Amino acid sequence: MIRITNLAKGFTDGNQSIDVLRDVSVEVPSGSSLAITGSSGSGKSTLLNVMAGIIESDSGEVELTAAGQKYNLHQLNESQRTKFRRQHIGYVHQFYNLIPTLTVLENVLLPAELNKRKDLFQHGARLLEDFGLADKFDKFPRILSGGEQQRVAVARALLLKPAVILADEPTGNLDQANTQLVADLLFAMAKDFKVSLVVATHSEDVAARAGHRLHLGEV
Amino acid sequence: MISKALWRFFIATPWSTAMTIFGLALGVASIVSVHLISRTVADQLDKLVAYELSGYSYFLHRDKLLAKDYFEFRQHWRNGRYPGIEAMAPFVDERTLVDNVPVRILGVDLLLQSSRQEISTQNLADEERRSSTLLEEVWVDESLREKYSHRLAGVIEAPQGTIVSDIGVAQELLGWQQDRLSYIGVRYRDPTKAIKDLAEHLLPGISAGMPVFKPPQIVGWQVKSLADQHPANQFGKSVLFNVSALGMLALLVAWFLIYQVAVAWLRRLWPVFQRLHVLGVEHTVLRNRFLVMMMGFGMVSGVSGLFLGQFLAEQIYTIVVPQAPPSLPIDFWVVIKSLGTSWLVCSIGGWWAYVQNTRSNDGLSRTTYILFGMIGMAVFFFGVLVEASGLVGAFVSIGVLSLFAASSVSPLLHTLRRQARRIRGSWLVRLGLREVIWFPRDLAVALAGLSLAVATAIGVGLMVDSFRGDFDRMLERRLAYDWSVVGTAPDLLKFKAAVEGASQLQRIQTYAKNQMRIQGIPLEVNVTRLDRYEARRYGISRSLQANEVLVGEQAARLLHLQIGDQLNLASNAYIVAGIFASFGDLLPRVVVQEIVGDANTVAVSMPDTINFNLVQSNSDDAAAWVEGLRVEFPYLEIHSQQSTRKMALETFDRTFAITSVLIAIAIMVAGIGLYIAITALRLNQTVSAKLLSTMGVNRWENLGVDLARGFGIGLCAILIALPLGWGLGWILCHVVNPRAFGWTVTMQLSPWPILGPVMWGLWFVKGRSAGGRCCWRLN
Repeated sequence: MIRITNLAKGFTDGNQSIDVLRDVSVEVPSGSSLAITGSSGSGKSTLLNVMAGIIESDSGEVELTAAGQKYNLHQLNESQRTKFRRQHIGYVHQFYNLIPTLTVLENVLLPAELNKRKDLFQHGARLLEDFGLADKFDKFPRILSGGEQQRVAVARALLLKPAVILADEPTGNLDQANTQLVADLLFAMAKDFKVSLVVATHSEDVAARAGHRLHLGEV
Repeated sequence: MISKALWRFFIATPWSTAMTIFGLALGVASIVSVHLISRTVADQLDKLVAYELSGYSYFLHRDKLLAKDYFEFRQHWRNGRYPGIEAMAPFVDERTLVDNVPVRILGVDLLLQSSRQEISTQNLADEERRSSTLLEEVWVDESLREKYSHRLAGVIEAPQGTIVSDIGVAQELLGWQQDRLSYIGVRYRDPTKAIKDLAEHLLPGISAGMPVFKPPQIVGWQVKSLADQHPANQFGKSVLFNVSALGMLALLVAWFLIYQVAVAWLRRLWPVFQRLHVLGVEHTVLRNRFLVMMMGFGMVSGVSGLFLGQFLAEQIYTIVVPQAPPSLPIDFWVVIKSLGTSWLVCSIGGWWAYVQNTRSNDGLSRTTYILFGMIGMAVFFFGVLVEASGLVGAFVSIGVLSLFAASSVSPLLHTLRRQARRIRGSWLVRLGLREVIWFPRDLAVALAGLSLAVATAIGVGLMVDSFRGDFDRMLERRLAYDWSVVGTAPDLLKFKAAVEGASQLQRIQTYAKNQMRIQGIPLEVNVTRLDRYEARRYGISRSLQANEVLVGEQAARLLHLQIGDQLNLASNAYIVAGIFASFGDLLPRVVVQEIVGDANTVAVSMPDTINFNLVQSNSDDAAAWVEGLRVEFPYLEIHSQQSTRKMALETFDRTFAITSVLIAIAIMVAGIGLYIAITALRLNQTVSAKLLSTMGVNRWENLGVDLARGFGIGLCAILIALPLGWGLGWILCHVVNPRAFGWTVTMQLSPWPILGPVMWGLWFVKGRSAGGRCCWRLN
């Protein structure tokens, strides 16, 4: 479960301060999904980064329940947040999702290696087979299409069966067919794996698939 | 508008801009410091040759040369028989003992206006000339001022024991007949002189390795070059040539660095340029702006590098020669060299970097590579195998080998990249190592620079280490006695009489020394009793016959002698019984049996050194006995051979310290180049780094990736540097040393000369790699 209460985040640019998020509150039950919508610059990516513990909020609370334990990100230091992210968060970016110097299989298995979970190696290979990428194990990302790269990224995000998957415009760079394919995979797998899914998107189609919706407007 | 965009880019990336200027300045500084040190050494070496002789490039010798021979030769010259000769003058130039003090007497024709002017304006320190009596007087160095005060024309800056006078006075001092001469100095019209002078100005010492102009043979005369006539000067020039060759390495590495800076800087600017290009700005305009920018950087860093280099040179010089505080002024040539280098390489490097960035393919075709490779191989083997190519041939071979190694970096990285998936291990290792080979264009130049610097360090290290080993073994054998006594002949004879028969004494050996000229080449002739014990010091296991002689390696090379050959000394024929290693000898040397010296006046029979062994050399009694001798003979220098050995090795290490310092500069500059390359590489890794961060990779793991990357870069550099370093070491030992110094060094593969630079290179890379992260974060 994710619970965000009265979250605020701003940035300063010289002498000017910009409030990106103000008084944001939302709750996502375990296994359900949330779509975050809003115009460019409305703070969708910032909210995802706060939820992942990559950046700290200025005020408010972010609580996540993972493996039966409740975490308040505000109370964790950077090192603890990094460890938390490694173990309980899966992240899918809009583009440049893969490490170019690692093969497709190595990219998918990277979270398992980071967490020293060799038992997940077979699982990673199976995921890739399920995603129709069985013949791409040994290839480097540069020869994959955009849709294939996103599928690999989704597989990687799912490998650990994390508590939460955060997806930042996962289909923003894809054509209609690939958007459909990646969104299907993401939502279906999140449901199967009982993973909370938070998707920041401009796509109405993608947002419509989510159980909950949060619209961020001008602050 | 474009300028505004670029200017704001500088402001937004201050760290990177500062690093660019610093990198360029350091490259220029290394060039300046090497130049200033080389020039200072060259100036000191020039003082070894009497100024009066330095205007003449060749010297004509014949047996019993008389004034009438000179006048006859001059007449032929005036009649046009020797059109290549520009000027000539007769000389008396001999060494002798005056009151048991060795002196060199140089007689010049003061009636020749040029000679008179040279002595009076260039060398006269005390302005006390009395022109009316100059023909009767002498110029001496400081050590002889008192002795010749009654007929002193002036004190000159010259090696100790030098007397310069008119020919008549020289003949009188030597006790010669009035028309006897030593040789005739001639100056040939050398078509390559202007080029050599220019090269010497730009790279002091380089002309010592250039092919020597060969004058035509003159019937009835032996023609000797200045180098043959003054091997001590040539020895020094050869050392200097080696230093200047290392200077070229520093120059090359600095060029690599400047180019690398251009590449890195362009990479940073490229997104801005691309956007401007999309908006319709032509590449030519963007390229010109970039070049103007690079030249601006070149100007700023050129001036800073000039002063930084002067400071660096003074510090290095103080470390290497602590007793002589340096004065290393910046002259016209060093300004030209530094500013020219920074401007030229910035513009050419910048242009080339831009061309590379806009090019879609990777450059030369396979056929062109093969063609260049074959030409390179031909040049390499010619330089190594053909001795007539001299030092230039040897160093051109080194250059070809280095170029081959440097140009193999990019293909190596491409090959390794194709095999990237074979790299196994933890994600950390895979990521770090693969990133090294993933961007060949960004890293190839810096990696080539580092490989060259490390290879040179290995090569020179192997040479110096092998040389030191040989030198040490020679000292071990040569310094077989416990004690050595030096002094004037009468004192030494008194000493000998006093100690002979003492119960503490095991063996005493007397040495006399003189100098003589054979085929125009000055030799040092040692006279001593060459029994089995003494002969063993020169590597011969038997005592020598009266008609046998031992020859140093330098003398053997100059006189083309081998064991068993005949050598004529003072009208007598001797057989060469052995050739011995003579590292560090300033003059070529021969050693003859004592009886021969006495009987045939090959050498003066008065001793100048006595060596002796004691029965129990390490006992307190022995030490007390020697101490007693010191008290009894206070005017003699009695020193232990062990201290001589220690001093010799210290001198050796100091001589080669400058090479270590130059190599250190080259590695440092290469390291900076690599740092800049890694900084550029980081631009490729920004996205990966962000991705890893979202996946929960912490700062220690990031550091681990950096270290793995550093290790990978070091590994690539070493893959090239190890074989190249071995090759350079081999050429230095077996080609450069015999050609430059006249001796052969047996190359020994010991681990330290290899491990030292390798570890240093790795450390530098590791440090730079980790440092690159700071830079990336700051920008």
